[in-house]
This record gives sequence, structure tokens and C-alpha cells, in this order.
Amino acid sequence: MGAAGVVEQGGPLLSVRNLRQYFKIPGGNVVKAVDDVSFDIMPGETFGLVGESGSGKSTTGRAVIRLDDITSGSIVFDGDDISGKLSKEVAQRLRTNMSMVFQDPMASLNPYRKVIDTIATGLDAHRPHMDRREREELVYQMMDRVGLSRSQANRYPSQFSGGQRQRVGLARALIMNPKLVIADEAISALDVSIQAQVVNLMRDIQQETGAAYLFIAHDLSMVRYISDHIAVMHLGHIVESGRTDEIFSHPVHPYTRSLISAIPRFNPQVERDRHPLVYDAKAQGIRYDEGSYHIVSGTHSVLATDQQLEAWVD
Amino acid sequence: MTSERKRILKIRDLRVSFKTANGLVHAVRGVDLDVYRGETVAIVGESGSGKSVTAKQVMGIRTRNEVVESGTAEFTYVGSDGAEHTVDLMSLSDKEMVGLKGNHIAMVFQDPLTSLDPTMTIERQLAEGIREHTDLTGSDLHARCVELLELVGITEPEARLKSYPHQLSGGMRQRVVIAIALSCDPDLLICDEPTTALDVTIQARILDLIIELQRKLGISVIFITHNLGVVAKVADYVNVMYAGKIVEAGTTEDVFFDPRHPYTWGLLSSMPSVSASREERLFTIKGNPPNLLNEIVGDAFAPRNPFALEIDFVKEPPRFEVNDHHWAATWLLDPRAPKVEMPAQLRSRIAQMRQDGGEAR
Ligand SMILES: Nc1ncnc2c1ncn2[C@@H]1O[C@H](COP(=O)(O)OP(=O)(O)OP(=O)(O)O)[C@@H](O)[C@H]1O
Ligand SMILES: Nc1ncnc2c1ncn2[C@@H]1O[C@H](COP(=O)(O)OP(=O)(O)OP(=O)(O)O)[C@@H](O)[C@H]1O
Ligand SMILES: [Mg+2]
Ligand SMILES: [Mg+2]
Repeated sequence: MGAAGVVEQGGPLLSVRNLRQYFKIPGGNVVKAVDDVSFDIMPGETFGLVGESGSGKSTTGRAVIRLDDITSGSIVFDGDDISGKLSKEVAQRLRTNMSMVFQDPMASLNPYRKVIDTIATGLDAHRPHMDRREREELVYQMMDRVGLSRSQANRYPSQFSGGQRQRVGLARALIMNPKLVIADEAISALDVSIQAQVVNLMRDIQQETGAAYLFIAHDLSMVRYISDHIAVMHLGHIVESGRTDEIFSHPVHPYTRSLISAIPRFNPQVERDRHPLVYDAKAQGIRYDEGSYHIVSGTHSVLATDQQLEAWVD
Repeated sequence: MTSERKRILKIRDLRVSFKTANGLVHAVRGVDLDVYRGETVAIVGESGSGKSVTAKQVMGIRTRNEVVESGTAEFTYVGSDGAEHTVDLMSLSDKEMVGLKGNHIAMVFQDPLTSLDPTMTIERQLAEGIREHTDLTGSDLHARCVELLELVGITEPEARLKSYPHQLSGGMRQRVVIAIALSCDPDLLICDEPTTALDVTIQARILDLIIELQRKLGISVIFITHNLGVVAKVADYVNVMYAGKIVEAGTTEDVFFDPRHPYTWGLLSSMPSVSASREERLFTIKGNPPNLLNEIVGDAFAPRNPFALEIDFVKEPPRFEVNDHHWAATWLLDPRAPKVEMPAQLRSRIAQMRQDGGEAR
């Protein structure tokens, strides 16, 4: 949903190269949650990250905003290298210019803080001497915009419905007008009419402030609507990426195809008996470490071996 | 829909409020709901409309500032003595409730992290549930845990069993919670947004699993979701909730193909149409839901309803039957009301959907 007026020139806002994030798990094994992932996000664009549960989407988001120390790779954000240890200055810039909406709203909100204070977190950190009235007014405006009512400002997270909590997280992330917002399943918990409201809101904010979004989601119909570019993740790898229309009109990777075929239809008579395409990398003999990225067209690229590519593009 | 349909849950006139610093929040304002054996009832509706609060009453889960103002919830089940029992869930003691919850009613909560204990491994949490209603121990118990994780599509179950919740992805946690709920073979399964964190393929798999269990074991399901595609797949009946009330109810076909309440029209119109271009704005229902602190006069949806009649602001609409399995609470269905059709855009969309089998592309 890139702002119409934003010309994509100059360098990317975020540039991720060969990102790896490994975790040790019980039993001495290592989970390669993110395994050699590279992508760019331009200023003011929306980059959709989709893929199956456990494919490494949240881990990628958390690595980018530096919640976890990364195993290897490089991350450059707005001219700053943020892959290694952060200087105080860079850390400060990162906190102002990048924010995140978390997947588990309840777990990411402090249960003992009133939501007005949660939403004002960024304001308090960066403008600690702000007039109380002004602070309150800014929070109220933000609450209005995400569809919460002012009378709820003094409540605690447990006193909200699931969707309302998610909007609190969204308000907190947007209040500082960041350059990049990582939205991890930010709208999945919302009903469709609020989803539409929030998506329109995110787009308005993008148009006003030129913010870019890393939009992590599994609802492909919404991702398709909102994103300029899409990357499809599976087992820690990006298996296919490209412009939204390229991905949807010519999906090449069988995993992408199965995802698209699984988008629910709204007709109960059809939906009850419909069975989407099944993708099983192992059964189909696909090993991601054997493939390399092939350009299909323009910005559209696919992780494949030469033979696979030939078989998939028909 | 034969005469043998057996009702297992009958909720009547449920009213629940919350005490807050600003006054009483009237979250549920007179809900009636029926669930029949082997059927799936969906509850859809606006965020904050009282779906979770309604479901939690069935589980006897209430917060300290919660006030149940009225309501009954009769649950019918076959006890271990083989005889049929009917109890009012609203007036059970905590102890009686615990007995029912282990064996007859299970719920998958909306926020998966909050229903898992962060300090316990997945295996312990699963095993605890299973032990409550089976005699499995040792390697049999372990095997059952593995089986349950496989059932919900979690790969490498052995390693995952040894993990703690934070070591799993959001969707895996959600599936663990589903596995725990299924572990007790419930008669009634309540799923509150069980698939929101799941990608479409896993979602389809979980839904197939629930449908399959339902066919095999005849369990009944209350399915709370905002994903209308999911509703289309799993539900036999749909209840549409708005501001603490059910405003329309019918079979899934009734509600999808012949919606009558203006809120339902708005809800169906808000789905991103597949052909929507990205320059287009998504349709939204103008305005905000009513403040549940205030007393609501008339139809709660009236201030946001472009088709509202004068009477909508004054008097609460009763239920008008469309047919014997479909009703809506809107004055538009009153014989005296002017004839108002659903928005043309929605009508053509429904026509399109019926015609091309709801293709999403
Ligand atoms: N702290 C951790 N310790 C061990 N393993 C982890 C940790 N965090 C994530 N993982 C593992 O990394 C993998 C990727 O997880 P991640 O949360 O990124 O998935 P996701 O794509 O966001 O999935 P979902 O759609 O279910 O949220 C999973 O296998 C998960 O179990
Ligand atoms: N403990 C509480 N104290 C005060 N208000 C509450 C409390 N719990 C819920 N509410 C309010 O009751 C209303 C109904 O909440 P509920 O959780 O049932 O909504 P929901 O329909 O499940 O919404 P969602 O789709 O967002 O999960 C909401 O307006 C919510 O703010
Ligand atoms: Mg995730
Ligand atoms: Mg809820």
C-alpha cells in the first residue's frame, strides 16, 4: 500500500543480508529458525512476510528490531549497521524509528500498567518533560484513531477483549511516527470490520508520515491487499519473493502455490468440501540448501535448483 | 436438521456486566444460544461485542469485577453412570464445574500464551490434562502426548514435548492448546479464535481435524471467530453478535447468502474483495461501537446504520423470523417498514460468490 507520491529511489530503509538465527533446544538439537535470509525494505513501502507456522517470521521480526542477538548476518537500518553491539546513540535512534506490534497481545502488555501509560511509552522515553495534558491528548487521539474509546484509557489490559488489546499494542507502536513498523500478526485478532479500519489507518499513517511496514501475517487475502512486496518463508528460508502481483499472478514455488490455494473462499457450499493443495518438501524431494535464488522476472525470485525451476515454470 | 436433533446447551437471557472505575460495562445484554449434538455453531461479530465473555460463562470463568445479572445455561450430558443429566452451568459450584470441565466441556482460549504455564514443559502440561481423565501412565502417557502433537500437525513432537512455551512459535503454542483441549474427548468444545495465529494451510488442517473428530465422536462445537472463510468451512449455524446481543442467527447459508441485519451487511462487506485493487480503500462500518457504559436505547447499531429508521433510535427491535431457522433483530423486517434492500455492492458480491463458487481469485 505504498504511498502514491513516494518515489522509490535512493537506498533501502532496511537491508537484511544472510541473516541467521539459531536456537539450542532441549536434547542438544539446534533449531535453524532463520537460515540465510536476505531482503530489502524501501522507505514508505509495505513488505509482507508470509509462511507457515514456525517458518521463522516472528524470529526475523525480532532479530530486525534487535530483541534477540543474531547468530550471523548483517542488518542495516536507515544507514546504521545494527547487526552487532549497539552504541547508545544508535540504540536510541533505533528505538525512536522502529517499533513492533507483537503477536501475543496479552503477553506483550504489562498487566499492571494502565493502557494510557502503555500507549505513551514512546512519548515518555523520548519527551519525558512533556506537558501532562499534551501527553494525554496525544494518547487520546491515537486511541480514537485505532478505534478505542477514551473512557477505556484508565483500564488494565485484562479488562479488554482480545481485539481491543491488539489495538492498544498498535497505538503504542504508531504514536512516535516511526520509520519502520514491524507488525507481527497485528490484525489477525481483529474482526473483519476493525481489520479494515486498522488497515486503512495504517495506510493513512503511511501516506502522512512515509512509514514502512514489515507486515507479518498468514492471512493472504489481507497481505495481498496491503503489501507492495511479499516474501514467502518456509523452514527458515525465503522460498519466493517479489512484487505482490508477480507472486499472486505467477506463483512459482510449490509452497507458494499451496498457500494461495488454501485461502478460504466465502461460499459455505464450496468451502466445506474443498481441499487445498498439499505441500511436503521432503516428500517432493526439495532441499532448500541445494537451491539458489533464480530471478524469474523483475524483482521476482525463487529458491530452487536449475532442474526444479525448469519443472515449476511451465 | 431432522427431528432427532438433540440440544445439549441452551443459554437463555444471559446478561453480564463488569464493574469499572467509570461505571458498569454492560458486556452481554440478553443472549440466547442453542447448541445441538454434533453441530457447529459459530459466533461472529465485532471485537468487544461479548463473544468471549459469553463463552467463558459456559466454562464458569469469571473475573472479580464481573457481575452475572441474569441467565441460565442448561447443559445436557451423559454421566459416568450412563444416565442423562441436565445441569444449569450458571449455578454450579466450582467443584461441580471442575468435574464437568475435565470430561465434558473443553475450551481453547483466545490468547494461547495465557493458557500455557511458562515454567512447565509442554509434555507436563499435556500429561496433566490427560491424567485427569484417563489412567495412562509412563510410556503410554508419553505416547499419547506424542500422538496428540502429531494430530495437530506439530513436527518433531519428541523435541517439542521437552520445550517450554516460549521456545515455540505462536502458531505452535496455539496448536498445543488445541491438543490439550482435545485430550479429554469433550462433548462440547468451545474454540475462541483458535486459528487466528495459524497460517492458512495449518488452519485448514486444524479445521479438518475438528470436523473429523466431530463426525467420529459427535462432539458439538462453539466456534468464535472473525474469519468468515473459517465460518464458511466449519459452521452449520451462525450467530452474529453486536454490542452484547445476537442480532442475527441462521444457518451458514442463510447468513452468507441472505443476510438481513444491516450490521451483518457491513460485516460481509468489510471482507477484502478479491478483486479489490490496492488503491481502493476497504469498506468499513462508519463510526465506533457504542460505549457499553451507557444504557443503550433502541437498536445498538442504529447510530452507524445508514438504513436506520426513526424507531431504531427509540425502541429495541424484536426478532423477526425470516424462516424457521433464520431470524434477525432489525426493524427493517417489520411489515410496516419501508422496503430497504441490502447495499447493491454486497448483493452483486453475493451473487458473484454463489455463481463462481466463492473463488478467492
Ligand atoms: N527462544 C527460542 N528457543 C528455541 N526455539 C525457538 C525460540 N524462538 C523460536 N524458536 C523456534 O524457531 C522456529 C521459528 O519460530 P517463529 O516464532 O519465528 O515462527 P513464526 O514463523 O513466527 O510462526 P507462527 O506463524 O506460528 O507465529 C520455531 O521452530 C520455534 O520453535
Ligand atoms: N474484566 C473486564 N473488565 C471490564 N470490561 C471488560 C472485562 N472483560 C471484558 N470487558 C469488556 O467486555 C466487552 C466484551 O468483551 P469480550 O472479550 O467478550 O469481547 P469479544 O467479543 O470476545 O471481542 P474480541 O473479538 O476482540 O475478542 C468488551 O467491551 C470488553 O472491553
Ligand atoms: Mg510468529
Ligand atoms: Mg474475544
